[in-house]
Amino acid sequence: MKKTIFKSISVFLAVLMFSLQTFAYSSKTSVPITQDEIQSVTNFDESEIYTAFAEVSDLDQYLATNDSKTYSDVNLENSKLLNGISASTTLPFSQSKDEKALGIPSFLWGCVLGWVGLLIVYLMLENKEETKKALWGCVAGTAVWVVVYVILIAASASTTTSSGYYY
Amino acid sequence: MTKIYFIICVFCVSCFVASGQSFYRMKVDITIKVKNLDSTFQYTKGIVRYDKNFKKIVYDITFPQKEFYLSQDTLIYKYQGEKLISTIGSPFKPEFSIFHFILNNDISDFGLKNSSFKATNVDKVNDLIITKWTAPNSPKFPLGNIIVSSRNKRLQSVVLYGKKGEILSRQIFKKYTFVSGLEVPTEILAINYINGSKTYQIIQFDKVQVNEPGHDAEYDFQAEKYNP
Repeated sequence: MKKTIFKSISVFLAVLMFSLQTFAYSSKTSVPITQDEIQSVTNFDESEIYTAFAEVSDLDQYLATNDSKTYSDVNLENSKLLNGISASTTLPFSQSKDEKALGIPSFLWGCVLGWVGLLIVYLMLENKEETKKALWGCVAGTAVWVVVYVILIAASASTTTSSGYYY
Repeated sequence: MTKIYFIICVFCVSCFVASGQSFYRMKVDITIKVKNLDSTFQYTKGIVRYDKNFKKIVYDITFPQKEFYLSQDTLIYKYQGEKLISTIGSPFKPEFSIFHFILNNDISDFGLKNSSFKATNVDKVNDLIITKWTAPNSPKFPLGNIIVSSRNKRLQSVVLYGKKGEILSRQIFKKYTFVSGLEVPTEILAINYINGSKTYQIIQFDKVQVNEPGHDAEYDFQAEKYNP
């Protein structure tokens, strides 16, 4: 029995020694933690975050007791609760509010580049909502061009008429 | 002597049984609040389901409107009613989500132990253990180092750095609760730094359920099923 115990202890000590050597080797490759890095994790002002959301505390309380209400329900019942609150959904740890092709709003893509912008948004984002925005941009852009064109035609026509009067 | 051996055996078996308890799925009520760069807010409420065998995160959103999101592989499918509205690329797979870390009990090191980051230093400040995780030395790798602090094996805060040493994001994990032996932080606060400006985020979990039996279809949502 003693032999077995001694054997077990010696195996345990050998394993311990081996792991200590491994640890000593790995500690040689350590990268120092700077004071700034320590402060970045220890000096975290939580109140800054809570204060940032003070404006939505009323909506918080309302939804705590009315958990089946949607944005449009709240808008009908008490629209003041939705001041500054967007109707778009966000998922955890997502950073961007809206998806944008190359950081440019989809509406602008459509408005400035017309059908080409619409195609770019459709192909880059594969998002029906953003494509719709680009489409509205395309419609708005076209409408602006039509108005500008009509004004220019009218202006040139009146110039021709008035110049005819003087001759 | 026999008695001692018997006690040792019972101890070993009970340790084995305790460590063998696996957590494979969780369901939580979630609230996500975001303050954007333009000072507008986004407020989202709903239920999240995650099963690590199916590797799908299913978001059943009730506010701002009834919507359904499925995060699978590197895609996020968005549904309204039963209609697929959009498919968006996602940089994070469900296996790298907080839900996966929680179920695997990897939350204390932010899941970095099983990543390409290497723990290169450990320090102790009061009762906080601070670990420096160094990013892989590859020019294509998008992130810099990560500093993680934990207290009593509970993740407290995480700071993500960019490649030039600038802070990208700071996160605090708090209000821990025990659910069927699983430790879950029920509040996560985050500040993200974008070009010198900040966005804020609060994520709250409520009604945490672990290993819910049945309801497989709710966890293993089939994206193709609702494709138009």
